[in-house]
Amino acid sequence: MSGSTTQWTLDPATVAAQVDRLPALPDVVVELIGSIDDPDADTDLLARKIARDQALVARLLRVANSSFYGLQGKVSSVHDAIVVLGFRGVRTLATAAAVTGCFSAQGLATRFDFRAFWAHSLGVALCARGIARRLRANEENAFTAALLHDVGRLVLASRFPHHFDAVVAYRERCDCLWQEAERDVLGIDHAQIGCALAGRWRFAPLVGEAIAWHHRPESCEIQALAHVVHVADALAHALGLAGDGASLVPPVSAVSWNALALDREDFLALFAEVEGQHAGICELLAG
Amino acid sequence: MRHEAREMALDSVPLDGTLAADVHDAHGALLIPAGATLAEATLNSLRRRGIESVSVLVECPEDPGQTEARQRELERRLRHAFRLAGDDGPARELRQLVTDYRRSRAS
Repeated sequence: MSGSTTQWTLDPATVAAQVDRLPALPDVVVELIGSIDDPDADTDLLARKIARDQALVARLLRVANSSFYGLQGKVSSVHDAIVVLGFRGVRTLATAAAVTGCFSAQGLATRFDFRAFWAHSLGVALCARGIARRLRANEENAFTAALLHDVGRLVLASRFPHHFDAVVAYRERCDCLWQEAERDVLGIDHAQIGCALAGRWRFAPLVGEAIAWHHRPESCEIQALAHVVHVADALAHALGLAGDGASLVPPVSAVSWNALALDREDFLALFAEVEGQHAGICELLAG
Repeated sequence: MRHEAREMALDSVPLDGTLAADVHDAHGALLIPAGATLAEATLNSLRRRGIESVSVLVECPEDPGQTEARQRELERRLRHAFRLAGDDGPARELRQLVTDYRRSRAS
């Protein structure tokens, strides 16, 4: 790609230093994410820890009692939420509530659309969960990994705002994909930065791998979840769920597409399901 | 197919029609939210509460010129969104799926 510049190049050490300065997730959320692929996790202990974080409980109950879950007024404690939604459902909700509440809309790159970012991320999360359900795979893992797939872009916009704006300007000039613009301008892309954050926040390897490889899932060691997130990302772009009128569908890996083996009726039903849920979950988690 | 809201007497509401606006009682309490399906039992419940008319979504036939313009706009938007996705294999299949989905939602 022409027009590259060394002015904005970021080396991994600089990125790592800034990632270390990001606000830490609440300890309980780190434990929740880290327990995703741990069948021996002590769910009772984790539930008690969630209950001690009042801010998290408030957000969790607000979502659990929303029309999105159809449980208006029925959930008044973490224990109730686990009875109704299951531990995995609560883990997903607590993670989503904590992660979306962790970043402020203030002080970001001027060209970063905070609302569109979360609208897209939540759209990918809904698509991934719907795909996982149809594959009889773990829906909660799919939702969490998909919600966080672009978190590296949020790191760029919050810790390197001028670099982010330079990427936007370059992308507009060259009309290329985001990850290509990032690699040309910064020498690093949001998937790599997201992977660094996954390490900092001690995400389960499963989630970190899916974030790192969501644009190149066929290179991922743990491919199944990366395929789901990769295709879900393309679906969310194709449906324009960011709502900013600037959707750009990335190339879709034939390996991932074929691995899911969904048929036409699956996709059409999934589109309707996702669009029916999207506005509600955006209002709850990114409003 | 385009839809618009139309105020109707309860006796004229088509069975299983869709409510276009919230229905409140005389004290302002919400009885039924917009979007609800108006089954016979729901209509009877509204009659018992003294509600005489509700706003219902009705289909409005679209003129062929409008349909064509809408489809052209859809194709333009998708062409733009898919411009870097490649034009073969999964990207083409996905674009066709979204086109079919959008058309089915509009009809």
